[in-house]
Amino acid sequence: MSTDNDQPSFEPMKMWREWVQKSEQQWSEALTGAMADEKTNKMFGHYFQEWLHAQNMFTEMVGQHLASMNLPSRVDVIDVKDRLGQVDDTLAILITEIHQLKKQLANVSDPKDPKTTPAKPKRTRKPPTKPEQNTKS
Amino acid sequence: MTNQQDIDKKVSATIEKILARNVGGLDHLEGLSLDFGVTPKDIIHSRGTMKLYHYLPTNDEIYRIPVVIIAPLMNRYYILDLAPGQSFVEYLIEQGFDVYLIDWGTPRKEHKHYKFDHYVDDFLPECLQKVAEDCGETDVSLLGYCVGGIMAAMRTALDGDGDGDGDGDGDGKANGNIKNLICLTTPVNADGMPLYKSWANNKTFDIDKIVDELGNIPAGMIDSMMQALRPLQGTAGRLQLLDNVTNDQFVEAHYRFERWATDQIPLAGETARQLFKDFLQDNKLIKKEFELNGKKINFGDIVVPFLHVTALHDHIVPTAASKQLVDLVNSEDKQEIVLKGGHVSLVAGGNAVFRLWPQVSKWLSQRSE
Repeated sequence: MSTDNDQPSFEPMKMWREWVQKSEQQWSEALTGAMADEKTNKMFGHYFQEWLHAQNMFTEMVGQHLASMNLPSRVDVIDVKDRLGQVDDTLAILITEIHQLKKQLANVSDPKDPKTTPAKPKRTRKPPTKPEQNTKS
Repeated sequence: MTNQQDIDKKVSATIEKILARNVGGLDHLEGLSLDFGVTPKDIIHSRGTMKLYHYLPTNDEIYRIPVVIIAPLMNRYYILDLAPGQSFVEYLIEQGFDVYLIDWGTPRKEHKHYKFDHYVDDFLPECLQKVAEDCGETDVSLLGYCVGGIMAAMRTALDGDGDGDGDGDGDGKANGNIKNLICLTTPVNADGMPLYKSWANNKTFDIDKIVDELGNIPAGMIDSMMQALRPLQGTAGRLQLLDNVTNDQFVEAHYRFERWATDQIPLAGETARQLFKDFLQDNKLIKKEFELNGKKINFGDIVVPFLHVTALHDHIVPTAASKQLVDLVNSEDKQEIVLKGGHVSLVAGGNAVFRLWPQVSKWLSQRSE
């Protein structure tokens, strides 16, 4: 870890940063309160619906242009991402199968051989103290 | 020394300091991209995007009952295993617990139909079965964080007798094989989440239209909704980083949090619809009207030892949204702890090792023989 032993100095920017950090919660609460207001809410709603509509139109339009230039669209990229996700899931299934096979192999081989059968921890651990009940703290 | 020389010396020292910080800092940050979720583990079961991890025990003697951690749906699981020395999972292993974790993964378009019904009433029982086969113990402790806590509580309630009086008179096993339940900052009352509630009630976000058009809720949208709760927090965080730029530990922790916070995952469309309509709009959890596969969820069916930990400065799940859970549960042995911290810093902040982790470990150790 680096060590900085600078003497405290008058730094207007640092003071401003500290003020922003301290007042962030109040500002955030005020903004969140405004967002919860019914009128603002409806405005956001309309904006959001329009954005959704515009996004659909834009996706379609850009998709057609990209297709005409033989380039992949966002939908194509997402398809590839999904395909990768499927490959990832299949790999996970294979890893699980290998894990199960290893376990089965360990069971059929010499159970005293530590190379094939790693020692399992004993499930006998005791708690350090007795439980307390029904409390709110 | 003249004034000019004095100024030159100060400027030169400042430039050297900045260069040293940046050059050294770049090396330092390069390594951060790889070191999340590194506690050694095996994947013992996977289905679709879901993976069940078993963390390798490091003690010769462990507690009898394994702990199954249920990660939240909208965030990466590695917040619970952020980095060596900053990992809740690693801490539990060191304390002698046998730890399993359910990572839900990233839903794709073919998973848009997933609902809580699938996660809680299909995937979860299957995982608990696999845990029993793997460790040879049928009893488990469930630990859920945020939405993972809702899922853990739902599963425990579903495994109850179903009469809601919590007397455990059904099969002699009050909540099936679930022996202990721990929820961390788990929301149950939508009235305690005023911003989201107002969005849901005023139909600002037409969830049906969004789900029908987009399939799954994109990660960016979830991130924006989270940001709306504290719009200036990111700016304040970056300014705080400037003030602590010479503190390597702070810089590392900051970048790990930032990376995790921006690494959101999409939410399956039908789950989002359920969350918006059944939870935020109709507040069905608290009214005992939330249904999974036609079965009503009643947290009164939970009678096993129960611990709920909430964070004092949690702006995502304020205590107003979570505090009623302990009253809804019928366990004789139940406890609620309110700790200093925020929603994320509670489980993974620098002080979690002094606050949350020892509390959970102590509580669980007394009930894991």
